[in-house]
Amino acid sequence: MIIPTDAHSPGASAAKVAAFIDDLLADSDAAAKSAWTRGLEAVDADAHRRYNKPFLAANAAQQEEILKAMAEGELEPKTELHRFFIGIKTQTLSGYYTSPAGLLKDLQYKGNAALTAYPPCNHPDHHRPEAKK
Amino acid sequence: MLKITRETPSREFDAVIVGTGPCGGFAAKELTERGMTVLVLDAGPMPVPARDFARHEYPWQQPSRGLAFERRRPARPSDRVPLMWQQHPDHPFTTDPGKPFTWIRSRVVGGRSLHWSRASHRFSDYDFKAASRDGYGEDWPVAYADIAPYYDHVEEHIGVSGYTEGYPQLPDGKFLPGMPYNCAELIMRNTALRMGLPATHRRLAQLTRPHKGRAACHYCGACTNGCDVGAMFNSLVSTLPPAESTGRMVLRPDSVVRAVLMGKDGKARGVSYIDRNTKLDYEARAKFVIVAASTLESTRILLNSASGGLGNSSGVLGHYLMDQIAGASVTGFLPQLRGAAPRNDDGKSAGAFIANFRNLKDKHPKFIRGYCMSMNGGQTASPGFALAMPGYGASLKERIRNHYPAWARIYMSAGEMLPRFENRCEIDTNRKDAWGVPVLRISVTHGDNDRAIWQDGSEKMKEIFTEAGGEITSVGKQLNPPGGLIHEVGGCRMGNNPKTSVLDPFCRMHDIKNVYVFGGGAFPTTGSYHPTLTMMALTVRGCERLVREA
Repeated sequence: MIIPTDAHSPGASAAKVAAFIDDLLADSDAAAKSAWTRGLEAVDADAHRRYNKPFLAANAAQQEEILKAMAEGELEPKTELHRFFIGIKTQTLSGYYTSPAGLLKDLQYKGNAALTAYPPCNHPDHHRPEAKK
Repeated sequence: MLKITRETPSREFDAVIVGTGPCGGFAAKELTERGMTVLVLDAGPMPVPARDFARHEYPWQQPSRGLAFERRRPARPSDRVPLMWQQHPDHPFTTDPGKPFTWIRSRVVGGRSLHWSRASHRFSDYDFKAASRDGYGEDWPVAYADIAPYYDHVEEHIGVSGYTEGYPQLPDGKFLPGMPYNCAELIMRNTALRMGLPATHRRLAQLTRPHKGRAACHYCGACTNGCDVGAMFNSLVSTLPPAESTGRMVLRPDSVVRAVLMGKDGKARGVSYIDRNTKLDYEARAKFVIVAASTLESTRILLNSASGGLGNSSGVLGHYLMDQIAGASVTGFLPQLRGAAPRNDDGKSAGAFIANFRNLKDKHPKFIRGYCMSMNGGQTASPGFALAMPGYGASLKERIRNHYPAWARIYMSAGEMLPRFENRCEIDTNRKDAWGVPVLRISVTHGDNDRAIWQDGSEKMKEIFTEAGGEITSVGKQLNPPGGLIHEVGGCRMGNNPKTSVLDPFCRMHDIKNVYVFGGGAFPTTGSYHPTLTMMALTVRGCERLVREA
């Protein structure tokens, strides 16, 4: 939901970002692990409060409502849910844009190649006249 | 592959060289080519580039996906080529409370030449003779005219790409062809020129054509993870091979030098070292001792060599320690590049450059000395900027994609930090490393002038970025703790006066005539540019004198 599949490229789920986050957490300290489980519990608690069911049992529109509310506090986080949104988004982006789907398919990253010459800028408008030195 | 020895030679060499970084490597080359026999010791192992360098890797091939992205946990040891980026508990150092210091050590043959940023800028008399202009501290005991031939010599050997510009504060050198600018670099470089700032491309010890048997750069990026085609200068490909080919070099890795040993005649007779693996003690004998183990490690060896420090009649050994000012930066987007077609901007990991422009002819009211800036942008590996973009879903994904080619930044490459006596390192008598060698306690803080330089740079960068039409999304907030730029210098500074300096103008110890100390330790000031090229030039000059007088 944070980075969905679209016409351009696969999303975070398809890029197996969940496995990346699992691996990351397995290697993290106890505080980071408990922040993550507290966050997941808070999401389920919110789903129960709103729809009387866990998050994963909610339908797409309901899940979207929950995520939207979490994201509203992104710039000034006040609640557990706001803070968890920042955490889950950070790790999702980190995992996605370091994956083949994110870096190569979505962003069309061209680096890490063997070139015979460095490609110069070939836009005439970037070569505007220079001032005299 | 360089030939190494596991033996512990008992014969006397003409010189023993401690360290194989930029300076130790050059000393080995210069002395052997002039007919001397040398024993070269390094505290670290011999690297195997195919195993130890992480080149041509995508982030998903690295254990925690590299360091490209902002991290939320400490790096795993394997993340950044551990041999080259060591913060190892086996050789610690200590600091005073409230005085953080960063010391990036690379205990490996090749030292920090394996991961350096390759920026190779000459100092000018604006740097060497700054004290005469503003009255603070002391001039270098050498002038540009003294060093220029050695800059030529070093550049011709290592290969430096760059453009000839004619800026008096950034002397031109013997350059290989310069690298082309990418779009973001060109936009910012032209903006800087329009503003009257001395802009050019970073001058890089990175080959734009084959040079002295080394391959030209193929622009794969990630140079600081090790370059095993030898397109970037390091000791393994550039200075140690010619030393070896003379047949006069014996190279012994895994040799942790503890101290310089003195003879009864008041001259050094060699060094004592410990085998890194067996922890057994040995002595190496030589007519000359070259300490080139890095600014701090060389100083540590001298401090550990005698009570009160070896060759310290001046009392300044360990003092006047500095690192250049860093941490000022501006990051954002250049709207003219938003949505641009994908291109490879990641191949050279360095870009446009602005030489120092402060306190040359005019006098700034708030500070003395100056700084240089670097500017780069475009599609670099992972979009770190994405973390600061609010929202989620398809619209966030599209915004990130759209902004990816437009990312750009300007940062302070090196700001001059003033030398102060109280900024120092000394031996911490309570702590030893894994080989039983007492460690350094480092005590360095920034002063008002240092902070004013950071502030001025920060404001100037905002001005340039805005003038380029850029949208600023974040501004560097802190003056980084000293050491972090890995431009640490001072500690055994050179000078004409033996009462106020440790080394003479040729990097020979005033007190002990057969000990030379090559490296940043000799610097009386930081200057306003990257230090390595100047260190290497001083090394060649010192070696030439050593041989002449041997």
